[in-house]
Amino acid sequence: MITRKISSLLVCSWVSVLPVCTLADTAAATANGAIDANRAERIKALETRINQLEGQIEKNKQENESDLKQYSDAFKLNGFISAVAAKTDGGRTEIAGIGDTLNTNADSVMGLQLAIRASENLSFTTQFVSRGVELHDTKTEWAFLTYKIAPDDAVQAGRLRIPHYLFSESLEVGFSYPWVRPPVEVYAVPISSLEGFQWTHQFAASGWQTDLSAYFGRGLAHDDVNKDDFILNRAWGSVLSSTKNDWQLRLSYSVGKIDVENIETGSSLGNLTEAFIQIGEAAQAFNAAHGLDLRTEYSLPMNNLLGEYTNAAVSYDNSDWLFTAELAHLTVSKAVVPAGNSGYVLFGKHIGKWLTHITFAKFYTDYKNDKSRAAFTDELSTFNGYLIGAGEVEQAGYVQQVIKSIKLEEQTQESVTLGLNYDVSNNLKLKWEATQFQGFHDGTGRFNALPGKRVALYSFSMDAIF
Amino acid sequence: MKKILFVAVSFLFSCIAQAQVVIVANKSAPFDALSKEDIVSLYHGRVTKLPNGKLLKALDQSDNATRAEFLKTYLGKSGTQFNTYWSRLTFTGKGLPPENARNDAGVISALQSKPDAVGYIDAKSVSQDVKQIQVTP
Repeated sequence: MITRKISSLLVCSWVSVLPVCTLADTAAATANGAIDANRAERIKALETRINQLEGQIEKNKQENESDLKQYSDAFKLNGFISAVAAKTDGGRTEIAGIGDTLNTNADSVMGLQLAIRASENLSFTTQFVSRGVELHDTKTEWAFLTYKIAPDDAVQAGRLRIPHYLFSESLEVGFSYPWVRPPVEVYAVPISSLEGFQWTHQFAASGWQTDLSAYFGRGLAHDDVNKDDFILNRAWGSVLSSTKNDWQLRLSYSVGKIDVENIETGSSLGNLTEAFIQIGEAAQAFNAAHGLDLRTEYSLPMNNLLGEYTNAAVSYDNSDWLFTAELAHLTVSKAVVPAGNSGYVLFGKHIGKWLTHITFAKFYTDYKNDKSRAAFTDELSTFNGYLIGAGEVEQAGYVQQVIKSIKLEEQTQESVTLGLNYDVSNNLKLKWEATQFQGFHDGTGRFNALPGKRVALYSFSMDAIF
Repeated sequence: MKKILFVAVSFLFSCIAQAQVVIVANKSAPFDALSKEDIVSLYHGRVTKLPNGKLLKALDQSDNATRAEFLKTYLGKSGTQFNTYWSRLTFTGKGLPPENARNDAGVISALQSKPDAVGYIDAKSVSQDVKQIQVTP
């Protein structure tokens, strides 16, 4: 009974409390709902704001990227570097500045190129090159304006590279060719750039993409081997270069008037010039003493020498096999400098990241230039005959030496180069190379003094672009 | 077990080797196909014109697997061989290599604002934002 009463009370009280609880819950729920709605609204507002800010950030980012993109499109900076160590076993003679002690300066080079695009059709390009491991002798190798007068035609003005050889325009960029240095038998013309104009026209025919260019200007170069300045006046030339699939064919011709100036005392040309003056004086004295009328003015022609250079090249690279060949012919009228024919042929095989190659190269002075030299030596021999007849043994010996040194300019040289390259990355190559030079026939070849019968040159290089 | 592992690894490598790279262009590009010769010319910086006379531009990618596959399949070159070719043009002032996008997404994004350009991406990345270009032999 008591239990029933208590139960009844509890039920009663629960029943009586229930509406109160329900009301309180409803009120709380209403309040919570309002808060949630408020929160949801605030969250939504925040989300909207965040989205707006994200949009703004993205927009700013795109604008910045666009600005950067425009900046990077307008300015392009590229570079290259070659660190080369080389030595010969040739004793005291040097080739391309390299002797029998390890040389890291002769071929080491670093370059920076800046291209500025002012508009769709107008751009400016300049290249600075520093040589040697100490990066001395920084020069503006070339700097020119390019104006596209039509989609297939461009005109360049400024300091330009003379396109003598297949690789002449990227001569400093070791990364661009298979050797540590291109064959010295061919790559030997001392003047490499000129101030002037160039016009280039591109066209396609029978699947061949062709560049035809013509240039005109004036070149100046210091010849480090002969220690003098070469000035190339009224130079002009033309290049025809065609590519189709894995093939490239190229023809180049250039012509100009050469002046040789600032010949250093003690250089080979300096010594020869000095020798001619002394011989002239000796001939004058000999004429006076013996009542003869021998030639008394001997001099090396140094001005207005007509120089002509012709080069034909072919290259095939199917990324498996590599074949490259160049033939060149240099004529310098009335000159004693070694000019003539040169050429090389390279065979290479790509094996994964490796490239093995072999190059046969040859150079020899030709009859035309040898004939100019012969005219000198004939006259000197006549004088020498008189000196010997008159018992002037000492003077005769001196003249004989001069004749010999002129004859030394009649040169030949052959070489075989074995090379092995390894691609460390897409922008870095290592190269090992061994070259054997021979066939000098009592001349100096491309060496600065008489080499032995055979001379080997060992080279290693790291070539990179960035 | 070893055999299963070998088969699995072989399958994985064959999948990697078969990663297909396709040529893509802007959705509104006025062409649907290019010859392989066009692609070779384009990526070698040679003048390549569309039938409407407009010059076509190439879009490259930064060094990655897609790029390596593209260079091998379409140009038959390694990355170093391709860079060697371009070094001869870049450092003679004759031209600059194609613009670089970071990856497939970058190519797709860049193509949207370049109606006169083509790029390459992994076939799996092809989306509605670009047009896949057929390459004829």
